[in-house]
Amino acid sequence: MNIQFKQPKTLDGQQLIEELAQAGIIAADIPNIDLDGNMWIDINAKDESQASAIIAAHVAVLKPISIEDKLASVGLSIADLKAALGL
Amino acid sequence: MAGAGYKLYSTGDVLSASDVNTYLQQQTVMVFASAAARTTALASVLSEGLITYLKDTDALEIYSGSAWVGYGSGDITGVTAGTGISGGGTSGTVTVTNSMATEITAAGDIIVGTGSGTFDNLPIGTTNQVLTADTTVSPYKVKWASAGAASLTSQTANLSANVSMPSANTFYDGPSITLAAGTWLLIGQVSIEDPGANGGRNTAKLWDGTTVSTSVDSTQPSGSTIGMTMSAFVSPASSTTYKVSVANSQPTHNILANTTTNSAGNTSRITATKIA
Repeated sequence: MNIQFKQPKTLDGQQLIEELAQAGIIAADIPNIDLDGNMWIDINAKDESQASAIIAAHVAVLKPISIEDKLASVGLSIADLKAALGL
Repeated sequence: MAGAGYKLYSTGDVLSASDVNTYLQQQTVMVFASAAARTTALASVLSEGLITYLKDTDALEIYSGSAWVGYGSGDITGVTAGTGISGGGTSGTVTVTNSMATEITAAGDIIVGTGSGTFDNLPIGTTNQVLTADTTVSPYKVKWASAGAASLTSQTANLSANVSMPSANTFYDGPSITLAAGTWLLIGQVSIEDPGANGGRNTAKLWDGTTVSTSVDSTQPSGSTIGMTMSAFVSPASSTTYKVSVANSQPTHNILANTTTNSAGNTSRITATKIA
């Protein structure tokens, strides 16, 4: 069920879901933040207390943008790059 | 006695009084002035099967063994045409005709009531016309007319203010719309801005907070604004809110409420058209 949690100061939804999974808490999806700024995560109600602690301790680690994403952001792919380099 | 049946006489046979009584008198039609005269005459010889004709009433009657009964005569004296039929008569072969059927003169004609107990022929309309109620049309109150365009109900909900998406991989709610029960075509669109030039991959979903109706992925070129559109048929059983939520693999994006250039107005919205 969707349960409302207090947002951590920094948040990476995918990283948080993985942190929850490491504790055996399976979320149906990455967090959702509504128009009022409330954060919701779809987990089993029995895990709410444990999840709250994990969420409070969460610190987002900004992952560097991958080469694929950098290329995609300018409309290119790795295959395009290889072709351009004659590889 | 009556009912003796038939006797074949041969040359030289003696015709006895009994033969005359039983084979002739009692098996012929006896004529009497009245029922009273018949009673007097037949008092001692009444038997089943006697046939008499009474002159005073012109009645042909048969003795059933216990009473005199009419000879196969019915009590219908005439057939009169009522509403919706014509013809009739009081003797001989009687013909009645369905007046509604004869009112039809061509293929496609229909019979329409024009009042209490009255009707008329309404000729067929033209191809693709439909029969339409129209109380101003006299006397039919209906007419053939072109089918009107379907009346569809639609709703639109615009995102009223930009939604900041500071966190990566987290869905942020954009425009939402509440629909009554029915079947709807939903079209959702959002514009995603990348002010931090972080690029990333966007995922947008159209959902009711639980069930995703449709979703779409799109790569965000660094520093760009992109549009994402999706559509779905939904059939809420009761009043339900649908929304578009967006997540990006990188932080610091915005769902725009209005276009940032050229003042074209709302850019993130949901449009719903009720189709059933």
